[in-house]
Amino acid sequence: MNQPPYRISPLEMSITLISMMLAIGILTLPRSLAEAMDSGDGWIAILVSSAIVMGFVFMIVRLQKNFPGQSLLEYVGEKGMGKWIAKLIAVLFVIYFIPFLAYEARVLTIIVRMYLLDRTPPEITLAIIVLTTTYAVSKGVQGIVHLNLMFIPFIMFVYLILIVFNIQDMNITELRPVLPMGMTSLLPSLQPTIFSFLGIELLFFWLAFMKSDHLRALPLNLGVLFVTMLYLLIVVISYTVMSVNGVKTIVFPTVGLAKEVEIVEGLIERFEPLMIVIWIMQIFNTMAIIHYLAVQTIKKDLLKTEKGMWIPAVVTFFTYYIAAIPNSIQEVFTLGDLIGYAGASLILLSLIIGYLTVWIKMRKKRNQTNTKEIAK
Amino acid sequence: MEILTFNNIFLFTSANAKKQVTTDAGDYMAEIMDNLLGFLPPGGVFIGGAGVAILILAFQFLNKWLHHILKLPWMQEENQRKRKQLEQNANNQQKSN
Repeated sequence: MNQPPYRISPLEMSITLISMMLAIGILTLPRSLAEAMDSGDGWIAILVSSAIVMGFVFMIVRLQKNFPGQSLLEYVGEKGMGKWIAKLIAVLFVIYFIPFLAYEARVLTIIVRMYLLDRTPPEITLAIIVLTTTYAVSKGVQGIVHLNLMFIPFIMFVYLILIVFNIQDMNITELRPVLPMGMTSLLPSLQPTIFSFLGIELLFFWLAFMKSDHLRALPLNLGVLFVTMLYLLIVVISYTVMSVNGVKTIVFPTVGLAKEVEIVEGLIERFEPLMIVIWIMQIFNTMAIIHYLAVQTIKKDLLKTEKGMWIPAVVTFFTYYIAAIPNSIQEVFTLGDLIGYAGASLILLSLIIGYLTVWIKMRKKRNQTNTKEIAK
Repeated sequence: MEILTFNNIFLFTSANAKKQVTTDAGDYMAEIMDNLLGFLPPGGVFIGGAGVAILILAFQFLNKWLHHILKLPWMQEENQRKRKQLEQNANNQQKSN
């Protein structure tokens, strides 16, 4: 039976973007900002980075308006040299997505071992999570988007509890003085902050599932704003509750913050396992999206086939293997930094190539119209 | 509050413990190979990954096979085509009447 193709609504897209961006960054951002700035000014860096990311989202949506219903790689690879360029970008994206997935999976195993299942071998945790994301991938875009919609209220509720029940312990003096070293001290902090917002590359692929009249940057930027507010509150509360120097020494400060929570006179004292469980749901969403993007890019843009039943399994194998490469947590975070640089470069490259293709195609069209008019 | 620092967290270390670099001058090739491929995890990880991939493939094939054998007659393409044909014929007959 023929069913109409699935279309993502603006709200669904916005929530999917939130799910994609909220991953490991939320646990590590307070520490990486404290290390980069050595002061409590991380919240300013978050606002600046958020504005930059919103600008990029606006540019991606504006680019997408030139080819509604098609992904960037489909548009670039329509004919001529573009085919090869699209293939090259597709290869780069696959090389980016698989280690990205591996990185997320590895951090998940570290967190699970540290806070939940300390005697379970990380290999088992790793295998289970990649098997689960493979199942999500088999359900397609619609399945993954609906999973995001289903999980996000729980995730938000837990973060809300985390924030609200820490307010009483806040000590605002930790945030002062504001920018004692001047505006230039913000520059080194932009790198970790922008990396925490990575995930907008999803738009290059999934905006194709939106109707042309739904292609607007505002709902997506509201999603970015939502993530910004969450990051901002978590960073401010981490600094004011645990102090900037204290945050520097904790690997995952947000989990540390969860340990400080005491609900209704100690009724619930151990909040962090609950938070970790909910965070796993969140990272599962992110991983499912990345896994699907990797599979989709290989299937549609590289091999151009509808079959390819083996692709999710191969992606899983490489994910599993790459996830085990780092020897220590430092190496895991180095891998994370490399992935961050790769992601930012790919977004820039894709935008440049996208706009160049639009410009070339428009110029060709104009030339053809001019020639026709002259011939008349 | 328990503080977890970078120095006390080393996971996968047992699995990834680096092989001792051969200092024997005669084993120059092994040293080069170690430098080139030393970062790769041990064979157990490869087998684990392959196992997971095979498991996925096996379940996918099983799922496909079950779908195939449990298809009801009306779901089969051939029957759907026949049904369409019959409907078209009936429509044509109605029009001609």
